[in-house]
Amino acid sequence: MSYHGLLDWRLGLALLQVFNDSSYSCGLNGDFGGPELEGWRHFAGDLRDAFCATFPCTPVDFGSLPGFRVGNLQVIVAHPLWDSSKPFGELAAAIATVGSDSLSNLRFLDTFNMQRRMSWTYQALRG
Amino acid sequence: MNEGIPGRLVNSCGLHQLKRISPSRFIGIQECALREVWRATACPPLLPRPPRAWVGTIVHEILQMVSTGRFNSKNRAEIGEAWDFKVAEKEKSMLSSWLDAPSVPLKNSAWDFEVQKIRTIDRVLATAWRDVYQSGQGGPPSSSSELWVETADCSVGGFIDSVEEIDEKLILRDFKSGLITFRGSESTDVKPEYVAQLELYCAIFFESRGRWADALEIVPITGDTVTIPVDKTKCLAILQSAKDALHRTNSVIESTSGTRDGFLELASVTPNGCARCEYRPGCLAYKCKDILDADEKWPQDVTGQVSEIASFPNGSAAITVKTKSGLRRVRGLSSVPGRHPALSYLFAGSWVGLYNLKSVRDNFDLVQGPLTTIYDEIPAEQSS
Repeated sequence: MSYHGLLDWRLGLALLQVFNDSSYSCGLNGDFGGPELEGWRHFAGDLRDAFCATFPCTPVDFGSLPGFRVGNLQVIVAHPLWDSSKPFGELAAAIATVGSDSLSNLRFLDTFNMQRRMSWTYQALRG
Repeated sequence: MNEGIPGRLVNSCGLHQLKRISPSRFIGIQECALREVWRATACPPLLPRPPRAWVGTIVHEILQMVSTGRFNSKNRAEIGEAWDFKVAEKEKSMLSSWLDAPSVPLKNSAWDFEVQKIRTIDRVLATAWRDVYQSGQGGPPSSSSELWVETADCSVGGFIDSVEEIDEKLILRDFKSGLITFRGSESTDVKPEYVAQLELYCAIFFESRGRWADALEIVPITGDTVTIPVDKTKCLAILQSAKDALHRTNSVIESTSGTRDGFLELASVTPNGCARCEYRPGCLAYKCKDILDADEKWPQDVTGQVSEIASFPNGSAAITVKTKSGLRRVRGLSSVPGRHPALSYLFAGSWVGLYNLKSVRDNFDLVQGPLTTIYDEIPAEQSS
């Protein structure tokens, strides 16, 4: 049965976890064991590979997170619920692998938009 | 300046001659002598220190501990504990200041707190010269951390982060917690002020101990250590410039005897310099500058007379200020007790200064930022 293209039961479940548990970190602590996160890293890696096969990007890993380079930008693939303005855990470790001089060229792409709006996200990066 | 009454600005600090100039402040005195005079004479800051600067100090102190052999066990947890201890120490100090207390805890106020922690631990674990120190390759090395050096006339002096002798080669090092090249620049050149600082240490070391260093190293938190060749002529010229700057500054203070002219002559009002200056609210030259060029990135400050104060049910307040260039509204000011002590002193007609504000897109109003500070103050024309 086909549902609306923007529905994502995993993301919905993760959001409910946020409401239910203030200490829930949505995988940032390295625990991707829950049903809402199971296989997320692999999924993010596949999305990154597909993105790089479609657009002129070079796949790169930032710590345990997938990412890529496009032009002078370095892009880390993140979970949609992660806050890149106050990174910690897995995301902080990924950013720490980027040189201090490259931080101004660092961008984040979330898997929700990458999966559903691949062209739009690429244009947003270029813009 | 009065640090006893939070939110109330009364008098500016006086002018006292400098005993010496430190290499870390040499570029600063060229940028604005007044700021350096106040810093050197322990004048209390009037604006909060950015949280990233506090984190930078922690990074610096952890890196300094490396050269003492503190982390020779290469234990990640041990370095993490030292980091946590330093953070607690700094936050305790911040809580004692009404200006810095709102930035506690640092993990919430400094966006890259966790990133800097990871980088620092990685840097400590990857520091090659620490291994040399540990294994004693090439004979027992002599190493000093925070070594005090000063010229014979005591006019220039400071602490060198690390001095190490390996295989009879003397290395002076300086640790940097931030970017050592220009932001957004393609150039890999190290900022000239960082080079000048190390060259100045090199010249002082020579003058005080009769020996030239063989290498100067800048150790950033990420990336490779940068080695600067020792140019003896350049080092001595910079040392002379530092001595000249000190004498010039002290001459102004002596000849003006702490009058208004002295403050105005020592101050240098520039967009970048003033944006990073913690004494802006008490700076006569900054306040008296009539029109700040709109094309330049000046700090977002508003000074003038209170026209209206409004409080809202959501706990925020707005102040409309009559400035030299007309009415200016500042909104989104927190009414949480302790955040802006000046709000309880202000009334229509009061003189007010609001500093470190943020602009709003498509709106002439300004809003509160994380470092916004408000003072109940006296007009610049009446201050000394």
